Amino acid sequence: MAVCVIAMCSWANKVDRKFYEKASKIVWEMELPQFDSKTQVPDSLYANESAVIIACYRSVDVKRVEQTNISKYSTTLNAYTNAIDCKKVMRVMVKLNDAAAVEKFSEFDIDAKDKESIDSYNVMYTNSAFGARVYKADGRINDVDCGEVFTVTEGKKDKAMQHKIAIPGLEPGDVLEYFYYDEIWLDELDLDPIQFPFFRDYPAMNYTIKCSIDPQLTVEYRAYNGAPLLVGSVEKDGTRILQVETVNLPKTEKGEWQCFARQEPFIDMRVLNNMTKMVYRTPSARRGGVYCGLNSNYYFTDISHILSTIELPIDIVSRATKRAKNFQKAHPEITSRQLIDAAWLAVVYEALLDKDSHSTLSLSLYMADVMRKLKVKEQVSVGVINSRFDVPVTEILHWRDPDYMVMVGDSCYMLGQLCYVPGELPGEYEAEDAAMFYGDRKDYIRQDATVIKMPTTRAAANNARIDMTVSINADDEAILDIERKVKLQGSLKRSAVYIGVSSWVDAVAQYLGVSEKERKKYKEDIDTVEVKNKIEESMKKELQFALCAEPRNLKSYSILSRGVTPDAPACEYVAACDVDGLVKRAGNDMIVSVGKLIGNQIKIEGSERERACGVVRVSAKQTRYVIKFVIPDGYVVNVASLEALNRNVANECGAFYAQATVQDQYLVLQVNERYSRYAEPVERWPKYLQLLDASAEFNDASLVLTKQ
Amino acid sequence: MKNYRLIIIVLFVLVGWQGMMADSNIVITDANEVYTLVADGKGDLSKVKVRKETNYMAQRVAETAIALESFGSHVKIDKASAPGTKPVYKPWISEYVFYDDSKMCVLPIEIENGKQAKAVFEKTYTDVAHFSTIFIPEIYPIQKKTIVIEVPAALASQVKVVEKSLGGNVVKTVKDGGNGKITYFYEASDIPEIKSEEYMPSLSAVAPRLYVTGLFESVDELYQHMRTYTINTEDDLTEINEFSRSLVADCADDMSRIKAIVEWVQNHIRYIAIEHGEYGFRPELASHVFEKRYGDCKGMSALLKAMFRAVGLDARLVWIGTDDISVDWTEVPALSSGDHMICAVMLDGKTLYVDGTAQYMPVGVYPSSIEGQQTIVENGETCIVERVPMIAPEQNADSLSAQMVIDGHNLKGKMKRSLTGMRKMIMAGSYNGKSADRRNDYLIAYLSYPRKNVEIDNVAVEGNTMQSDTAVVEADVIEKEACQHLGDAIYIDLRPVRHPYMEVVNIKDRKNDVKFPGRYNFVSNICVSVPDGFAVDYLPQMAEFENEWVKVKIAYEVKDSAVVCESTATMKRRDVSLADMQQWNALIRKIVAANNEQIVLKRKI
Repeated sequence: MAVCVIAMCSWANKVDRKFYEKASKIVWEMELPQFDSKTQVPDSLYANESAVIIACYRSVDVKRVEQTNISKYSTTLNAYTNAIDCKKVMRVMVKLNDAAAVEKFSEFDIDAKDKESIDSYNVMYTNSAFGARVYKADGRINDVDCGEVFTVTEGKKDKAMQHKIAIPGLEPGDVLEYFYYDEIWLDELDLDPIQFPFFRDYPAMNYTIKCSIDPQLTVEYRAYNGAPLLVGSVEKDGTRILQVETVNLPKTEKGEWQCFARQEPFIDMRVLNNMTKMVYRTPSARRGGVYCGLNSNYYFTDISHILSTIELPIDIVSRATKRAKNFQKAHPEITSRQLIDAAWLAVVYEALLDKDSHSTLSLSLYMADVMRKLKVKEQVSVGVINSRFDVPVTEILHWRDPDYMVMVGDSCYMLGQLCYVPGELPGEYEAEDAAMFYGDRKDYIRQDATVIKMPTTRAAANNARIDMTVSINADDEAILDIERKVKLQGSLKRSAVYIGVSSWVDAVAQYLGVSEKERKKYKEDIDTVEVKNKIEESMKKELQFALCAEPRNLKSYSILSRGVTPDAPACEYVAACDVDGLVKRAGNDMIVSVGKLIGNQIKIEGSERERACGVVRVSAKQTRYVIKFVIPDGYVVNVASLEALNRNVANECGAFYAQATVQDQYLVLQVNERYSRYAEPVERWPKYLQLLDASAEFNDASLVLTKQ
Repeated sequence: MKNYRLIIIVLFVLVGWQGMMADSNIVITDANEVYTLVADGKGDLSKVKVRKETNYMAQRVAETAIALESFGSHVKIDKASAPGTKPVYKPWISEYVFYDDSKMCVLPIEIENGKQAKAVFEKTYTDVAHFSTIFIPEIYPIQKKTIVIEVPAALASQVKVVEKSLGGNVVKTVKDGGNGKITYFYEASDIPEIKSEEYMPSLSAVAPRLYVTGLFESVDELYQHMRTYTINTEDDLTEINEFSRSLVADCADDMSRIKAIVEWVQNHIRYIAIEHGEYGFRPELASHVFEKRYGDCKGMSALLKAMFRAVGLDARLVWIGTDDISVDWTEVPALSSGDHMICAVMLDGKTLYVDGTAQYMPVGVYPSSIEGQQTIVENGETCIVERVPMIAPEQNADSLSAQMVIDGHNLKGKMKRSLTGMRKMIMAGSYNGKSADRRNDYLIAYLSYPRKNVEIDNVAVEGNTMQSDTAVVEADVIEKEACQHLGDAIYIDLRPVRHPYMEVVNIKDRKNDVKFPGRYNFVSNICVSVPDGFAVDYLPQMAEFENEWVKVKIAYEVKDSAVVCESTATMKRRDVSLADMQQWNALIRKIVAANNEQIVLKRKI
C-alpha cells in the first residue's frame, strides 16, 4: 500500500498550509472503521448506481469561551469574550462507478478564511480546510496535497475569496475519500443553523453524526419526517454528546411536486449563545443544555415576547392609517371589511415605497396598529404560519423561522407574492396551522398561542379560464391567428406575477385614490420602458408555452386587471398573436393541432413514472379552456375527428375532460382540467398519473377539416 | 488569447441579463478610447497604454451604470475613476473554466435621471503579445465613440489595423503626423448594444472590431513566439513512453495505434480549463497531465503528442482558432486569432488532426468547431500553415429506420438510429455523461423527438465508445396519437424529417446572423404496414427542396402492403445572414409543411 502525494505546483495557491496540515492530521487520525476503502459494495443493492457512499461522518464540536477581553472593552465597554468556538468535520468516502460520478466528485469549492472585527475587537473568524485521498483499484493510495488548490482572489490586494480544487488522478472504479474541516469563532452570536439530511443523491452504506456540546451553550434540535433521534450522553466534564449511526440509506429520487421539508428525513439543529448580553434574547430563551423536539409552545412564547416588545417606526402606521381614513371618506358607504382590506393595501403600499425594507413581522404589526387606530370592531390577531413547503409551524426551531401574518376577524392578511387581494390566503398556506395571539400587543406575553387551522379552498376557487378565438390566416393557411383572453383567480394568479411590482403599485394607488401628484413621485423611479419590455418578453414566453409554438408576432396585449384589489379580484389579460406549425395537410384535408392550444402539458416519462413519495402542490386547481375555432370557408369538420376530441378521464384525484361541438361556423372545444387537492399520498400516484397522461396525450390531438 | 476571450465572455455574460433590454435606459453619449503604442529603443513594440473616457447617461430614470475593464497578468489597471464611486476588483468566474486569474475592475456609477457621469480607465499592456483586438460595441447603446490608435514612427511601417464588420456607422481617417507618427481615427455613431440571440455566431464574428497587427510581422514570427511556451526539456516521459508502448502492443498499423491512444486519453483524462498567467498559453507538462488525469486542450494535446511520439509517430502541436474566431492566422498574426490547441500526426504525407477534447468523435472526423479552420502546425524552426478539412454533412449523420404497424391511435414498432460524426458525439457524450440510472430517460427523450407522447422499451445501445465510427440505438417504440381513425379513414402523422435545425427563425427584432451548431444529415426510412381491409387513399407527393443551405427530399411509395417513406435532410451550410433569413424561412416553411403532410388510408369497399 503505497501512499503517494500528488503535489503539483499551483501558481495561484494562497491556502494556509499549516492549517490544512493540522486539519489533515486531525481528520485522518480519527478512528472510524467504517471508512474502509475495501468495503464490499453489494451488487444486489447498488448495481447500476453511479456512485455509492461507503461512509459519511459529520461531527460538530462546540465550546463556549469566556475570558477577559481588553479590545472588546475598548469598543463595547463589555470586558468579557462570550464566544462559540466550533470545529466541524465532514468526511466522506465514495465509490465512483462511472464517468458521471467522477465528474460530480472531481471538483470542490472551499471557503476562504474570513474575519470580521470592529477596530481590534474580533467578532467573527472562520477558516476551512479540505483534504482528499484517492484509492486506486490496484491498491495505490494517493494523498492530494493542498498545493493542488487554486485560490480565487478579489480586491486590489488579491484577497482570497474562495479556494477550488480539482482532484487529480480520479477515474471510474476509484474510491475517493475527502473531508471538510471548519473552524468558527463567533463572539456573542449564534452558530448558523446546521442541517443533517438523511436524503442524498446516492445511496449511503453508513452515515454517522456526532456532536459534542459545551453545557453552557443551548442546543435545540428536531428530527423531521422519521429521521432518527440523536442518542445523548454526558461526559465527566459535563460535555453533552449527541450521536447516531445509520446504515443502508437509499438514495432519494427527485421528481416533480416534491417537498423535502415534509417528505424527507433530516435533523435541524441550532446552537445558541443564550448567555450573550449584547444580542437580544427573549426572557424565555433556554439556558445551556440540549433540547430535543421542544414543545412548540416554547417557541410561541419566544414569539409572543418579540411581538409584544419590538419597537417599530411609526411613520408607516401613520401614513397607512391616513390613507385608510381618506378611503373611508371618499367611500362613506363601505363596509367594515372593505375598510380593513383597504387598510391592508395601504400598509403594504407604504412599506413598498419606503426606503427601508420591512419584514412580514413588521407588516403584520403595522396592520394590527392601524386596526387599533381605525377602531375596527373585528378581532385582531397576529401570529405565525409556515407554507406547506416548509416545516409545520408547530415544529419550528426559532422565532425567526416562520412567516408572520395578521388576522382581522376570519380574514388573513399576508404578503404573498403581490398577486392576491386582501384577505386571500396564498395557496401554499391553505390547511396549515397558524399560531395566533389576540388582543393588544402588550398582552401577547400573558397568553399561550392559539393554534388554528387555515381553511382549504376547492379547485374552483383557484381557477384559470382561457377563452380563445382561433382562425386560419386568410393569406397563409399554415398560420393560425389567435386571440387569447386569460382570467386567473386564487392561487393561479401566481403565474402572472411577472406583471411586476410597479403594476401592483399602480393598481393599488388607483384603488386607494392616491393623487396623481403623489403617484408621479414614485413613478420617477420606475423605468416604464423597461417594465413594458419585460412584460412583453414574459408575455411572449407565456404564449410560447401556452401554444406549444413560438408566436411569429405578438400583435397586441393588454393587462385588463391586476387582480390585487377587492373591486377586481381576478387577474385578466388579453393577447393577440399568430403562430406557425399547427396546421398540416393531408391531401385536400387540413389537420389542425388543436390539442396544442391547451399549452404544453407535462409528460412524465421513464423512471419518473415510478414514485416513492406523495405529490405536494401549491393548491387544488382547475383550468377551463373555451376555444372557438373558425371553420374556414369550403371546409367542414370531419365528424369522426370531432368525436375523437372528446375525452373524459375522472378519478379521485381530479378530472380531464374535453368536449368538441360545432356551433355555426365555429368548432367549440371545451377542455376542463381539475386537480382536486393540493396534495395526494403516494398510493394515489397511479391515479394522478392517469390525469397527467390524459392531458399530455391530448396535446397530440388534432382536428380534421375536410374540403367540401 | 486569454484576455480576448475574457472580453468576449464578459460582454456575453452581461448581455445575458441585458440582452433582452432593447431601449436601454443607460446610453453612452460619447466615448473616447486612445491606444498609444510605445516602442523601445530597438524600435520594437514594448507596451501599449490605453485611456478610456466614457460618458454614461440615464435617459428615463435614475440607475446604476456599470463600467468595467478587464485586467490580469498581462495588463494592469493604472487608473479607474468615476464620480461618487470606488473601483471594485472582482475575479472572473465562468462555469466553463475551472480557474481563471483574469479579473474585472468594476465601477458602479449611480446616475440621476437625465444626468451624465464619466468613467475613466487607464491601462497598460505589459505583455504586448496580448494586445490586438479592439471591440467597438459595449453593453449599452453608443451614440458616439471615437477610437484613436497612435503609432509612433518607429512602428509605423509594421503596425497595421485590420477592420472587421465595421458597417456604415464607422468612419475611418488616418493622419500622418509629419514626423512619421501615424494616427488612426475611427468614429462610430449609433452603435447598438450587444444583444444575445439564439444561434448567433460568436461576438468576434459579428461585432464591429479592429485588430492591431504588427507585433508579429508574419505567422512565422507569431509561431516563434508561441513555440517558446512549448519548448521544455524538463519533462520526464519515461512512464508515458512505457505505458504508450504497452497500450498499442497489439495494434497492427499506425491508424489503430492512433485510435488506441486517443481512446485512452479521452476515456481517462478529464477536461478542466485552467487559465492562469502564461499557463493560458503554455501547455501543462505531459507527465503532469498523465499523472493528474486532467488537463485542458493544451495539456491534452501535449500528452497526445508525447504518447504518439512514444510509439514512433510524427506528432506535432497545432494552434488553431475554433469557429468562435473569424479571422485566420495569416490575416491577423496575433495570439487572439487562436483559442484552442489540438494535435496532429503526419501520416503518409498528410496531416491527421486529433482533438483530444472532442470526446466520442472518431479520429479523422472533425467537429464543426474546428473544421475549415486555419492551423499552425509546429515544424521545428518554421511552421506549416494549413486548414482542417471540411467534413461532408453525410459524415455527421443520423439515420433512422423503423418498421411500424398501426395499433389503435398509435404507431408501434421497432426503431433503429445509427449515428456518426457529430450526431454520435452529441448522443454518446450526453448518454455516457448521465448517471447510470438516468441514461434510459435520456434515450427516451432523444428517440421521442419531435413527438411528446412516445413509449420506449427494450432500449439497446451499441458503439457508444470514444472511437467507434457509429453508435446504434435500437428500441421498441409506440408513437402515441400518431394516427387518427375517422370513420373509414386513417390519417397517419409520420413526420419523417427529424432534423434538429430545420426550423423557422423568428426574425422580428433579430439583430444578428444565425449560425447553427453543425452541418448534419438526417436520413429516414420508415415503413408502415397497411392494415388488412385498408388501402392507401392519399400519399403526399414527392417533395424536393434545395437552396444554398439545405437539401431535403421526402418520397413515399407503396410497397408490399406497406407505405414506405424515405427522406433525407441535409444542412449544407450552417450560417445564414440576417439579409438571407427570409429566404431561409420561406424554404423551411415549405419543408415543414411537406413534413407535416399526412398519409390517408381508406377502408376498402
